[in-house]
Amino acid sequence: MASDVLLQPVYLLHLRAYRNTSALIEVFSAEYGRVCLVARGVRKSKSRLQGLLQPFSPLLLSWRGRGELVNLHHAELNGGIHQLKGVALLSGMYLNEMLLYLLARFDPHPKLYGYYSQALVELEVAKNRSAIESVLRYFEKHLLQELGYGLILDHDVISNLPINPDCLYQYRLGQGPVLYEGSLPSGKHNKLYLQGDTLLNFEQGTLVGPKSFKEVKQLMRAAISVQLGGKTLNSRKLFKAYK
Amino acid sequence: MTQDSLVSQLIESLRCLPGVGPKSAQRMAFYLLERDRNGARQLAHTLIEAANKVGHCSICRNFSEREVCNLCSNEKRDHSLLCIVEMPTDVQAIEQSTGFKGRYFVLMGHLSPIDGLGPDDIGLNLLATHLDCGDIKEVILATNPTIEGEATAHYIGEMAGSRHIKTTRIAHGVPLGGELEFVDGGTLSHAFSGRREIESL
Repeated sequence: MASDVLLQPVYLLHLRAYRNTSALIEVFSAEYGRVCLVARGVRKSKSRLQGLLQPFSPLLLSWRGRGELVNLHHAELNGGIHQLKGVALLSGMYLNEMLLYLLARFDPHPKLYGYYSQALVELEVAKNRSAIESVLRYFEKHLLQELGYGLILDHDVISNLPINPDCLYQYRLGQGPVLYEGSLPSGKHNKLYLQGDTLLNFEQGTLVGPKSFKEVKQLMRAAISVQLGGKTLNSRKLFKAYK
Repeated sequence: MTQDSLVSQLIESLRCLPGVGPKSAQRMAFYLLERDRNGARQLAHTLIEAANKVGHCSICRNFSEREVCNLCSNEKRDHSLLCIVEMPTDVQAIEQSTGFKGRYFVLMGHLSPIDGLGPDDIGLNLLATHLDCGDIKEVILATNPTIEGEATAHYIGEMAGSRHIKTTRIAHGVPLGGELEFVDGGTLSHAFSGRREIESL
């Protein structure tokens, strides 16, 4: 498809050096989804765009071209840069890596774009690790929802009864929570068992407490691995090494 | 235009250089053959020597034909200062323009999860052993002011911090002789947040 797109709001996900002075950039745009662009001459020492084309800065890009790869011909800043530091920065890289792998090219997700930009704002102001973790978990939830693989969190998928906050549920990936009766299996096999109130709080966005976060983290990790189809996220490994 | 196989082989080989296309490769080849045979021999000889002998310094990971490079083996340099850079070209740049007298550590890249570059790929396990030996008093992080460079700096900062070593990051800001009007927003906001008190003499 031939297109001439003007001043599209985007976030840059990844920049890769291409030829001598050019770069291939992957961006997440509000109206076009993930787009790959050739940015010619941006790595020249006098290029004005060099400082601009960085992840986490809201940009307005104009591009032209047909097919999968289009040519960038104009870029400007669209508001303030999100200055992520430390763990928040690594978390931002994690979001980018996830989007890069999970979004198909030219598949628009305007709502997800909003969630992403919201997540960056929240990461920027997050004061501690648990605040960052909560940003990540809700973003992951929204991401799956927007991709069409949203998790069922409010009812038992076998009995169709609403979730009882006091009961234990086993989460069956691809299906949903199922009431689990009996004691929690020990050791490594106790993953994907969640307390009813954790599920409900996650659904309503009111998750609290390290135990609930741990349960949800395991759930999201498993659910996202299914979508990734065996690919591992390197930023996750980086997190591990970091601790 | 068809050429003898050796000539075309030379042109083809010159194309492995960055920024050299078929046309410039042809020009270089003809220049060397027509005007500067000695230069060509010299170049070929040095290339072979370098390709066979140059490896990485076992201390700073910079290119060197010896086990320990000149900068690392120089006793006059301050061994308690360690400057961390991404590429060997950065070492050259700092050497030429600053009065830095400490030692370097060259990462040969930066942390970039999307490209699959993790801590061990940029030699951070070697860096950890340097930090552990206890000689280093200050680590200067001179990685590039990109997102990846920033993440790398932060990661190394944590490594040094957990060993109670002072860590500093080079400043980013407005270029000398520049005008604020033409400086990009990101640099300007960095320069602003990193402002310094004016020291009175």
